[in-house]
Amino acid sequence: MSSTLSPTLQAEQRAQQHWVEDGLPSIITGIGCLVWAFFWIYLKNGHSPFKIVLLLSALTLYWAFTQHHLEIVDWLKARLSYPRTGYVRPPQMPEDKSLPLDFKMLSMQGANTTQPEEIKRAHARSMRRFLISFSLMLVAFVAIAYFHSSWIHSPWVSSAFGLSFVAMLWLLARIEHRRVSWILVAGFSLVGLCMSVFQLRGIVGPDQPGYWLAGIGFVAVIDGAVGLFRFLRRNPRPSSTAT
Amino acid sequence: MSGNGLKDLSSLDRLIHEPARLMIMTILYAVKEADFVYLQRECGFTQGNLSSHLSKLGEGGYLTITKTFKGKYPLTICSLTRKGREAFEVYSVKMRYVTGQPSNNSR
Repeated sequence: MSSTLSPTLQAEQRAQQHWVEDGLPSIITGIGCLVWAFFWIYLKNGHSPFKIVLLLSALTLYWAFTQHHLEIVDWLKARLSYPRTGYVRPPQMPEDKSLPLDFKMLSMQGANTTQPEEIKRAHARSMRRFLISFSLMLVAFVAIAYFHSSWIHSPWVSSAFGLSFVAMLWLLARIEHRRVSWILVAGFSLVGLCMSVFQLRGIVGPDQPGYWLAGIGFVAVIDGAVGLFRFLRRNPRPSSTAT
Repeated sequence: MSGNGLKDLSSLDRLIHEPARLMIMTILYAVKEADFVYLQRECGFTQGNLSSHLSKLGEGGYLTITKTFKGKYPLTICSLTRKGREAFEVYSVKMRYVTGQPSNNSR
């Protein structure tokens, strides 16, 4: 056997990978971050009518991205990914709200809504590890913020934070038996470095979180776009989609 | 398990025991639902082959097959029924018993 995972868990991981491999979830998450960053940096000062209109548009967009993230991704996938590589819904995903009611009723006939025991246990383990790693990341973030504000007045703390963010991302991916894209690794490190340079030049100031969000969003969009390009090149649309 | 040793092998579910159908059942057990194209790509079967195995599992009451649309894209969605999940779990337990492996699943 090439892997220590059982075939069932491998199948589950492949389904999860299938959901993210076309890059669309990354792109949508990145756009959400960019909208929020735009709101933070550009629109928080001043009250001209133009800015108010922009603010309302940004808020609406942000609300749409956060509330209907899955539906937006699913809508895009139905046009780009499903005809090429098929449709699968991993066990963690919520019910599909986009399907018509009669279809939902049909699907529920005799279907088991409870999670299989093996997958339940694996999820519990995975969630525990995720929470530990997330707590560590939070502690690191608070520590860096504390040091930054108290006695380390160095702009290079941002670079260190960028690197620690990448390290945590890598750790989380290792725990979940996944690979981290090199674009995310290089991108988040670069965002930290840029933040340091911006601070040295006095560009960011109090808008630092907004610039962080913008950087993270930008990297996520680039990562998603590259993923989508590769996906479309690897999986040309079949001539007939009828199944 | 009844503890009859070798005789227990004869009680293995033949509908699941066939390798192609076992692959399909394993995939569907691990996800909420999957469509025909996904199953075909994952298993590497031809359309006719997959269709025939799905029909057999459907006739056994192990899965439901539903035809629907997402946008303009036609989907043939398959998902395991409660009976199918239970049958797969029983089959897994029996196979672990046969191979002498413990029934707890660890990564």
